Amino acid sequence: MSRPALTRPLRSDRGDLPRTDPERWRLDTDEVGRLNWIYVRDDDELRRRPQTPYEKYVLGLETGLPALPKAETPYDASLNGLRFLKELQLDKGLWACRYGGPMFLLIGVVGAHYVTKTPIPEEWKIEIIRYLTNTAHPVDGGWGLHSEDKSTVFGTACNYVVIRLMGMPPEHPVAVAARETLHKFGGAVGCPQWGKVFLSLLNLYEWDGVNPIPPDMWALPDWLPFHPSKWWIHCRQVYLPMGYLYSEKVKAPLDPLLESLRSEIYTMPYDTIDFAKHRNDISEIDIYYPHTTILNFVNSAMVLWEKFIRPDWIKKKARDTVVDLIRKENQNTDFLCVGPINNVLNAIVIYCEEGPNSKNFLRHKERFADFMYISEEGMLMTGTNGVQCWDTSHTLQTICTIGAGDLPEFRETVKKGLKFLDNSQFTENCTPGSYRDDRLGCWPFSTKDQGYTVSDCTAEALKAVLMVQKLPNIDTLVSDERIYPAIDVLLSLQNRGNFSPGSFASYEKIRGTPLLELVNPAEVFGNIMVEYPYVECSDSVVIGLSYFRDHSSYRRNEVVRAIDDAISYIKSEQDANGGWYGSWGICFTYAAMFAIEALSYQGEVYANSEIVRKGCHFLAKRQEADGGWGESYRSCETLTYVPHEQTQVVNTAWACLALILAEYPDIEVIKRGIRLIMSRQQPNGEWKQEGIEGVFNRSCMIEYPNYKFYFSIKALGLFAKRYSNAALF
Amino acid sequence: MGTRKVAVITGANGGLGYSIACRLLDTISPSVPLTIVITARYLRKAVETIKRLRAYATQRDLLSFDYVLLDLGSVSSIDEVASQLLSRYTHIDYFFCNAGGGDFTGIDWAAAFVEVLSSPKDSATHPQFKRERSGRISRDSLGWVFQINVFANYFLVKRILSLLSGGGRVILITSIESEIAHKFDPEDIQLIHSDQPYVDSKKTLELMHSAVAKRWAKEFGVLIYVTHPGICKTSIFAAYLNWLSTFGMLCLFYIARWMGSPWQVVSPYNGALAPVWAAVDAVPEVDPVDGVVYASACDRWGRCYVKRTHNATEEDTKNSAILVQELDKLVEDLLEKIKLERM
Repeated sequence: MSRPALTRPLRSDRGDLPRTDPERWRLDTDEVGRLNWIYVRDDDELRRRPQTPYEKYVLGLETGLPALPKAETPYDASLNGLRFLKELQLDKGLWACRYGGPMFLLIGVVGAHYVTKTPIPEEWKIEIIRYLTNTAHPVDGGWGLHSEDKSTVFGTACNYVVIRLMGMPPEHPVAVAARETLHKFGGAVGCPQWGKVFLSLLNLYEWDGVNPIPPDMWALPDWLPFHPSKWWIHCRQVYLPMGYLYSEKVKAPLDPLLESLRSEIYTMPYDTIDFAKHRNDISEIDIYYPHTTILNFVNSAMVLWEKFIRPDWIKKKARDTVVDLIRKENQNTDFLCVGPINNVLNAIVIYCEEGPNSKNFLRHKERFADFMYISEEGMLMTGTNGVQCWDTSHTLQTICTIGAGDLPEFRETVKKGLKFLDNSQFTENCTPGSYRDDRLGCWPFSTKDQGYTVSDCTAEALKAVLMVQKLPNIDTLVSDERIYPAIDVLLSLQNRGNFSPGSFASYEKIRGTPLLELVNPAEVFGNIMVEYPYVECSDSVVIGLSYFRDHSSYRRNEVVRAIDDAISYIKSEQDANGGWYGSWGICFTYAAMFAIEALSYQGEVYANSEIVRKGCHFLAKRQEADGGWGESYRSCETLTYVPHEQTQVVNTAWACLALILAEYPDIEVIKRGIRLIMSRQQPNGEWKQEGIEGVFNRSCMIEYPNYKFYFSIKALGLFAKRYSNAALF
Repeated sequence: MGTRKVAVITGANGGLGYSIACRLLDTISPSVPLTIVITARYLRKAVETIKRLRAYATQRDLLSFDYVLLDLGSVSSIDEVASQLLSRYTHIDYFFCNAGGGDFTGIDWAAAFVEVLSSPKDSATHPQFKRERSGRISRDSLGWVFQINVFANYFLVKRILSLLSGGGRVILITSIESEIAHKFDPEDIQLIHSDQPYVDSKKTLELMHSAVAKRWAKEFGVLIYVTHPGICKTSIFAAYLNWLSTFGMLCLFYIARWMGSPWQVVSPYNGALAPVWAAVDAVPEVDPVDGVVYASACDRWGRCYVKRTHNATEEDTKNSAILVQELDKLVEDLLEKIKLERM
């Protein structure tokens, strides 16, 4: 269900819950875009360091940014939007955002602090309670998989534990409502696997009630087709430390609060629960991808293996392999790790292996903060350590596309953004033996330190760099020679042979068979086991390579061939009704924008391409009465276009961009969308937050707060450039 | 291209509900933009059902889907469904109240043996050997079978009347078995003491219909038809039959049909005939909403048609009034309770 718009005062602020002083939060960053929120207690320091517009914006304070002259034309509106967005840029040239949405992350960081006996800062506790209060379901007080989801056992059990561990007393109405909902669901025994893992770590569940996560898999020969190195990066990097923790049965020491929680989250006394019997007990409310018979068989077999067959030397070898890989992951990512879950779980492993005072563990502790984000509604844990590179690349592209790149007022913005991309390019490859591909020359989704390139992020970043460096009076910071390795890696990432030839996946090539999905044990996500071909990633790579193709003759033949093959794949993925399914944004409007942009770079437009025509008709038919488009996240779950209750600025911008780039002949259709975007713009140039924008693994939604800025600006500016900049009203 | 038609089908993942959706797709012209909203208890079922329906209607371009999660056993959930429909749609053209069920314990095989042999037609139409549990109470403290088969529909339709006004159609699904329902007991409207609450709830549903059909048609312009699918092999009883007893049941159906019983349509797709016809093709001037049950029936050779039966008696009119008074009181009480529980 979609949450109602935030009404103020927020739920957390209507009663007795404490709040930190929003004026004391500051966002530290560095050349590579680290985001680290600190709470300044010293008044002198506070004065020395006034809050920036971005800090005020995120915390819901008055930014003090001026009202701009009313925009009568699309171009003025786009510039106004840009004027606002420019103010949000951090001084190191990047844009930051609150990358929230997933509601199963806080339990991990809280669990890690408990197991490692690391105290949680008071300001975090206060603000986590606020965030959870504000995101509790307005009807039943529970939580789901993501912030707009119905209540589920996973969300409710884990966040109930968090809110209690952060200090909320059990008789507080928020806790009472959540607990009642959890009990109505049958208690925490029905939690999906990851929830059972987190609860076991907190000594609130027993490890023998968790379906096996054997580290032994890693010790197998890695040429086996089901070896974890063939799995999707997020899947294998999460199951890597989970395997260690499962095998070693790591748990936090019991204390009175945890004892009490044991009696709160179940509908029967803890000591009477035979946890092993609940291995396959998962609430129907939670399941997105049910267990297959094969998986159940494999799980039972692994239980027997561990209990009766496995010799100790294998167990030890497996553990050593896993710890070695965890150390390499830490090395490759400066202890950030690929995502928030293995960030905290790897820390627990290192704590177990090396103790609380090891240099490695101390660095782990420093890195927790990279995922903790404060905002007006409270503090949450982000889905990665940010969206820095992706957002910065797109913003710079937007500025160039609309022709604002040579305007003096945006010169510094562009220069700083370019510098950030310059700093963010990978300068070395991973440690050998990490099962990682080359990354030298590429760009990340978030930051260089995080260490992971994604195909579309490299492509969009290199396009941004090339576009910006074409502007007059902008120094070339990233030479062509530095871009060649990125092209090399992109070409090597293209899938060939058996798995969707021509396509691009996300982080790596497809290494394993999609049949592995039959043993997807997570229950709440779809398509997680291996890499999959993605239309959007393929589109972005086509866009980046096309731009490069027109700029340089480096490996020209191979680049052209790669583009052709990718285009064939993209065309083959179009549904019979003309839509493309989006896997990373919501949903068909998002994919349409990327697909049509990719096709337009090959000269395919409405007038000469049946595929583009179908794509345009798909969009035009779904335009709403107010001229806009809006998609519900139910589109992602059901793989069909499901309209949102209200039109959305982001969907409208995506649809308009697709139609503009396609040179769709009925300009009235596009005009109506442009008008809608303009009508929602605020006097200071911003757009207000609407529905959630992004998704992963079909079922979990995630926020991309900057989309409503740069895609709207781009749609308005590009419309003005291509058609007319006459007043639309 | 006409304006978009919106059809809501509750419980569309089951046999009859799914067939109603398929039949609707086959009946409404592909040139009419159509949105099918299904309800299901769990997300996974909703996703699966939509996937199946998409595969069924691949050639249809102007078709879109949506889902709402509905737990009939929770009035809060029913209320949430109403809220979501009100916020997502400006009108609903067809509302199929298909979801429901019973609390069955199984078959009394001895009684079945006797009954089948002594009166095959009756045993294949309204068998007396199906055993139901008595006295199940819902989490909202109502009779559970009453809640899911009667109250849920009343509550839901009442809440979304504004979406249905101006010609929207509600299709209620009763059962031929209501012929053997016990007499309406004003002391046990919620059927807590009934030994056949499923059967009795269908009679109650029909009484509910006769209480409001004419009035709401006049006041709100909403047309409520009561239909039944005849006797078909649906999911309601599937859990209690194995392959042998299923085969036996089918034999019995065909025997009854050849003996002249019109009700054994067997396939859920056939069963969906009357509900879909009532929604799309019934003409209120000649097919009145009141006083008639429109049922799926077939001749000896299995050719299906819509059969009209008249069901209203004077005593029924009196009982309907009592029933609707109780329903309105329950609605008021529960809405108040929900309001207090909200954060």
